[in-house]
Amino acid sequence: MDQDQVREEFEERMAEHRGIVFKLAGIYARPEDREDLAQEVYLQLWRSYGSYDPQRRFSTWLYRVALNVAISFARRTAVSDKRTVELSTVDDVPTMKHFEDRDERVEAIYEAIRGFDELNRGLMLLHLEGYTYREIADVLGISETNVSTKLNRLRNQMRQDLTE
Amino acid sequence: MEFEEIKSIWSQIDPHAKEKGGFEARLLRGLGMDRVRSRLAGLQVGLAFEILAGVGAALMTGSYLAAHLGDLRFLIPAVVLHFAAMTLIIVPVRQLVTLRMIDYSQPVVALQKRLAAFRLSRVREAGWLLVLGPFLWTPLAIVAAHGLFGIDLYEGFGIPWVVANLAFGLFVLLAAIWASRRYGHRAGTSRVWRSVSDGLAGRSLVVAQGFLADVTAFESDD
Repeated sequence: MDQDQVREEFEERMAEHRGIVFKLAGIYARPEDREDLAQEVYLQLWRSYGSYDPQRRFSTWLYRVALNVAISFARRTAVSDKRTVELSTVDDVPTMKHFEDRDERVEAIYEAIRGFDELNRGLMLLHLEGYTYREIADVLGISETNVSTKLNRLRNQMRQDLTE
Repeated sequence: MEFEEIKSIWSQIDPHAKEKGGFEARLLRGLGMDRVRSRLAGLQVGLAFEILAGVGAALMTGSYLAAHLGDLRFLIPAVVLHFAAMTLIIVPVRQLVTLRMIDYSQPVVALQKRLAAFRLSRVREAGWLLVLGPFLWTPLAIVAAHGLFGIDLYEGFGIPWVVANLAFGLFVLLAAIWASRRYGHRAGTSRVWRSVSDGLAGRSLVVAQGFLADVTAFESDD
């Protein structure tokens, strides 16, 4: 298979999971860094595509790569984020609302997810995307029991956050 | 809001609806990829440059060291500098190898744990370099003056000069730690100063240890 065919196959597979990089960027990056993160995720997915084993589920591979890049990105920017908030007034920091005109309920959900730590954000994202406990456990590398326990807690937290 | 409602709203998010041409379609066409690629390449080029600088320093200190094996006055500072130069090679080589070996398709917790442990060791290495840095001035001055200009600082200024310089290094180090702890929050937007300040004050270590602890706690069943 030549490079063009590989790229075409990659694009077709990615099209089946459209929206995931967009959502991931909204959860893990500040508005001004969103496109940088999205590009980094896409670039890494493309670079790692050669190591994808077709015997395994594409979505598991996709989420592993995407979450690993996003979490590393978020960790890298976490300290400077804190500094930015300290150095500027809160009104100066652009929010997703400034960035685009979204449904308020969608924005509230994003905000609630961003309130979790990086690993729990990934867990909630996979859950909202409709993945089973087993699939989530496979992507994250933890037990199904652990997934279940954590999700119960996170769901309650989220319900509470969105009701207040 | 009930959770089923949350899921339903989430499933309706369409990235293509708000942006002309679609957010991901633009990424697929590769627009802006060069910026990311050059940033990643820049990091590797930076590390390669550090390795080259370390090799150059190791060669110079190594040849000076070999020529002064019989003279302890110059051998000791040369060994100290050679050790520092070797550290300048080993640390970036290790980082470069790790960067190239990262497999992003590993389970998230396993890779993040590995990265957190690596970050922690990097912070510790950087911390040691910052601590030892102020003490390198004295051996550097002795070896450089002798190697480049043939000036013997021991004879010119005597042992008290060496001791005074080492004491001054200790004073600079303690003052820098105090200033980082006291005024580190005013470090501004300079990345280099912030990194030095956080390293000296131990904040980087606390952050790195904290993330490793978070990943380990996430992994364990509770």
